[in-house]
Amino acid sequence: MTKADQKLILILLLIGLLTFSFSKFISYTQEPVSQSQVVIKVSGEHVETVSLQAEAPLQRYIITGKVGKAIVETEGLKVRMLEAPCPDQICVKQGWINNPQRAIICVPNEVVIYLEAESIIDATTG
Amino acid sequence: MLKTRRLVFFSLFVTLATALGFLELLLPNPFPLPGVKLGLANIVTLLVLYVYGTKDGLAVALLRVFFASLLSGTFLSVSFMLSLSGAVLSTLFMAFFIRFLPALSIIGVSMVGAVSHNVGQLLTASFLIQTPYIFYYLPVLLLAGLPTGLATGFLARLLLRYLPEIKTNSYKNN
Repeated sequence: MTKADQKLILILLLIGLLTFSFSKFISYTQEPVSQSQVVIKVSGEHVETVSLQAEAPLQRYIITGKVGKAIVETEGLKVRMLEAPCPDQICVKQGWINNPQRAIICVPNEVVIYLEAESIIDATTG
Repeated sequence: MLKTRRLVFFSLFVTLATALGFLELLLPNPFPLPGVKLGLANIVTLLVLYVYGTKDGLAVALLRVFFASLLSGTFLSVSFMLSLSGAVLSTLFMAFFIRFLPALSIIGVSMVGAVSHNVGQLLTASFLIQTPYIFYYLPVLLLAGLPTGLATGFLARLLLRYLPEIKTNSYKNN
């Protein structure tokens, strides 16, 4: 291993830590939301938006992805992928998410689930 | 004669890369993070880059992705696009660093390859799925590329010692 290699390790480590702390910083400065909505997309196209309320009972949604049917479950302010037809099941293993900065992304099935704070306009009309 | 010899070695490298890539697919992923893997096939691309040069390295990477996708039945699927973009980007980056930063040893180049592979995959994933949220995963993949790149780099260095013979016998024809 040469000097240049060691420098490269340091530089990459630094970039990694910087981007890591940056993404952490963003998620911490985000104000906690009392109302949020789940957005579900398949192949980049919006298929479903579900409003989340605290204390809301468990609900299931069946989504048709690129590979097959997936079941999305919401309860209170959190959401998870209950069942997916993908081979690695990464999305299912990820479990519940309740942070607007997190997303469940199932790459083989091209399903993306993320939370966003409900906009004020939606809140007043709805 | 030289041409045939070259063709044989080139085919062997493509086969080796395909087999290693497929083997890694079959083994349970030792890392708990999605998208993070050792990248054994990258060793072969790296060696070909060193022994034969950029064009052949790129050809091995492309053929490897193509054959591996046929073997696993993922041709033209999202995971095919992901491995294709990762392989192409990492090969180009490695070739660039080999040519313009000779102070870097094969280990450093391997790390460049691992990190750029991950970044390329992430770029393609965010483009295909059309969500910027996937970029929250960037630091994970950046940092994960370091140990995996180091590991494959050390392996490649061990193997490179046994390869100069091939090089001297066939490189002139290029």
